[in-house]
Amino acid sequence: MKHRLTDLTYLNSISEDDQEFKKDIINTFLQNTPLYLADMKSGLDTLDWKKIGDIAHSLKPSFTLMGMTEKKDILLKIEAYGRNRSHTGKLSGLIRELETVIQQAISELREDLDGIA
Amino acid sequence: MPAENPVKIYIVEDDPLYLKFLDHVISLNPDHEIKKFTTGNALIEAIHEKPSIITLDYTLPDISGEEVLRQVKEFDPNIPVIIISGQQEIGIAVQLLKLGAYDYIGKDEETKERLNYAITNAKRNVQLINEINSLKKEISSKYEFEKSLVGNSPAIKQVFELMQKAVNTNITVSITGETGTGKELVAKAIHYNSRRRNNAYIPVNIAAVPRDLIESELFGHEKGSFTGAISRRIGKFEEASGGTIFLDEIAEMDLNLQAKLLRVIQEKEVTRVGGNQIIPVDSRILAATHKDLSEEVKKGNFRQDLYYRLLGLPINIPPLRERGNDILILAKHFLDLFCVENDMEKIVISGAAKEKLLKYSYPGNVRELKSIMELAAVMGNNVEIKAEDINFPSMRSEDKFTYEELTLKEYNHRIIDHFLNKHNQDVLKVAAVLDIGKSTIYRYLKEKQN
Repeated sequence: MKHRLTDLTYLNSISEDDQEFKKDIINTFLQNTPLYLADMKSGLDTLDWKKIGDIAHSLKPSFTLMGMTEKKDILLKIEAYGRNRSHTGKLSGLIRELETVIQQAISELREDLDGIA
Repeated sequence: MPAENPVKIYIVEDDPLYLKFLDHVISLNPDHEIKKFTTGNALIEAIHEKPSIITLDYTLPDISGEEVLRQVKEFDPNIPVIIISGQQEIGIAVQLLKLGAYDYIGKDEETKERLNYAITNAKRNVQLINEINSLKKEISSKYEFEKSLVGNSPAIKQVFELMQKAVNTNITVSITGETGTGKELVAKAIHYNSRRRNNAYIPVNIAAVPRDLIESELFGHEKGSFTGAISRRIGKFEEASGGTIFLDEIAEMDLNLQAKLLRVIQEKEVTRVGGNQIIPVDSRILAATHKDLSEEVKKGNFRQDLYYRLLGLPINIPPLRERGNDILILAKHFLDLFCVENDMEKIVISGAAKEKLLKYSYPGNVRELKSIMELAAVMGNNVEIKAEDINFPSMRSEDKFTYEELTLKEYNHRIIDHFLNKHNQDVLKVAAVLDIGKSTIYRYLKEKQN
């Protein structure tokens, strides 16, 4: 079985049994995260390192809410490299890694969504 | 059902996911009325709606959280702004807290608990600030001119006019008047109607503070500067900085201290007793005395230079005996007040009682009239104050004309002056009351003019 990247324990604890809220949050994640990722990639094309760093910064709370703590260090690196304009050569690889993580998270969350009443 | 007194919480967050999260956490309390903003400028446009609390994301798409915070604080420094940010740098948090942010919360697993805690505390803070503001308003309205000094005689109207001039500037005001005329009320009314009204009003009765302690009382002292100075204490001048200090019974100040006071007034700075540090103070000075300060200067009891410094705008409050019909207006005012304070039905004053009240000279002035009316309310039949309910504790009316030795002519003039003041300078009326020719009065007035 594939190792799960998302963990909804934190989201469950703050939802206080509000299933609609939970669905809403997951749906928002499913809709917005690919857009953030696309923005990040466009930053790579235009060499806009600061933009890449800022987007990584904005994604951090979503990772916290979805319990993706073990993959947060990818975001922290992208944020630091982008904002400091350092190790920019590593950004492309990190963003590819991030994309894989997000794709897996999306598929896990889609399944979870089906299971929520 | 909407809460009766909702707490308006404005959330500023550009990330849609986190905005939903914050909305959910904050709206768990039904007392919270939430409005959401995704840009800093949108919040600034709505700031006139006076939110109770703002949660602010540091990184926004249009302007920085720091700039939003600055503008909110400029509009109203009392609105608590809770920064919620993913920034890890401690320097940013410190900078924002220095700028007046209420709290700084990271976007992590503890956000919900920390946010709830911060909102609970901020609400308590807002409540306290509101309470203070409403108390301040209450005090200000209590000291509105018309409420603080009751009466409509020309003499008191002149006092109102001078007070009005006093509130518009920071000029030093010297208030004179016999005991019980209401010098402190005038001082309070000037402060609470001036631009300094939101800062401290510090009264000091020079006569009531032991001579040895007055210097440390006014200017403060450093620890160990004298026996008993067990800790540093700031003085009344420092306490009143930004506000007003009221120096009552200024004529009682001893000459040594007068020299120090003069220095404080001239230099606008104090040095605490036993200290070396010079502390700038910005306290407006109102001074009062029942004595004639110019006489005290002549006698050598009061420094001439300080006298001129303190004189500023002189306001002389007339004695009650020169305020004519004000006696009855005040008598009714005190009686009504006493009835309200003691849950009594309204009591009226009989014609005979009014006449009796008008004849008395009130050496204790308004303060004396107040106790006379309170005693009358207690002694009377709870419906009407009769002449016999009015008891004068001190002098009889004619005593005021004979308390010092004068010539008969001088007595006559004093009597004419008294009745002219009492009857608003109405010569015909005074002539009728005293049963003398009006020409006698005109002659006297002409003589006085020359």
